[in-house]
Amino acid sequence: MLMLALYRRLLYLYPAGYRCKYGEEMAWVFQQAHAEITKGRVFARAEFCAREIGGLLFGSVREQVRRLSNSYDWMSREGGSMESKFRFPRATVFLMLLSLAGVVLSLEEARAIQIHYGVGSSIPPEWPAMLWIFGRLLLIAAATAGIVWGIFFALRRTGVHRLAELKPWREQK
Amino acid sequence: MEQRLPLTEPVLLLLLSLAEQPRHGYSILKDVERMSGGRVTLSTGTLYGALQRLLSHGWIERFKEDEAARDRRAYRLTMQGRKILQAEVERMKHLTKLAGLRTARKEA
Repeated sequence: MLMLALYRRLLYLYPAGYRCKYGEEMAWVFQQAHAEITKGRVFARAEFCAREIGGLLFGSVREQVRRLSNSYDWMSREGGSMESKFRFPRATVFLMLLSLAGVVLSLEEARAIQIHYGVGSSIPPEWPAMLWIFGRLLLIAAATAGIVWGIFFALRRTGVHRLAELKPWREQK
Repeated sequence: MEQRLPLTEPVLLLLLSLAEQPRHGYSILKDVERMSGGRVTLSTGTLYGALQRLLSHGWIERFKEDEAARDRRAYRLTMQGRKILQAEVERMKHLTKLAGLRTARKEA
């Protein structure tokens, strides 16, 4: 019962449309599988719970990304070769921009280090400093990703993506 | 069709499971586990992700098996899905034959 309740809570991580379509069915399948595994050993039950929670978390992230990018192709191997026509999902563009930002920031940091230690001087291998720089880069990347995701989320909430479907004038019959 | 091959093992097992008869989610889970000898165990999240993908490609279809069971939907292969599965089996047969020939030649 507790696991089923937790499972149903975790289903809320999925997009609403997906949850409406498959949520009850998934919960029913989970209930069946859980009823069977409760007869088993503790280790088997723990493995089952970990697998289910992991599957739900990964699945929800995949569905959320798919909802934003409207494509499966960037993640699945077989999905990439499903279509004969070329596709360039928006998520890939986003990841490429993120990588580019990371490279630019790394170059800036390298330049700062060079200025700090002077041109021509040998740079001592200071791991704490490197870790600090790496940490900062990670923070900046995470913040950038968060901001971009926030913008996408806000845009979707305002319904601006539906503007493309609007017809400015009535069609002549 | 060749562009869509090879299939991953979970997808292949899933299609094989539905090739025999229409099944609902839990039945697919158990059948995949049985066919792979317990090696491939899908979580419900992974299973429904794969089903959703196969539905979007038109390889399987979803239908109401029983009016009494409100939340239970069953899945079956479409003609396109069956063609894909047959093509994959042919590809594997060819590979197996080739591997047999090559290893036999090496042993001789």
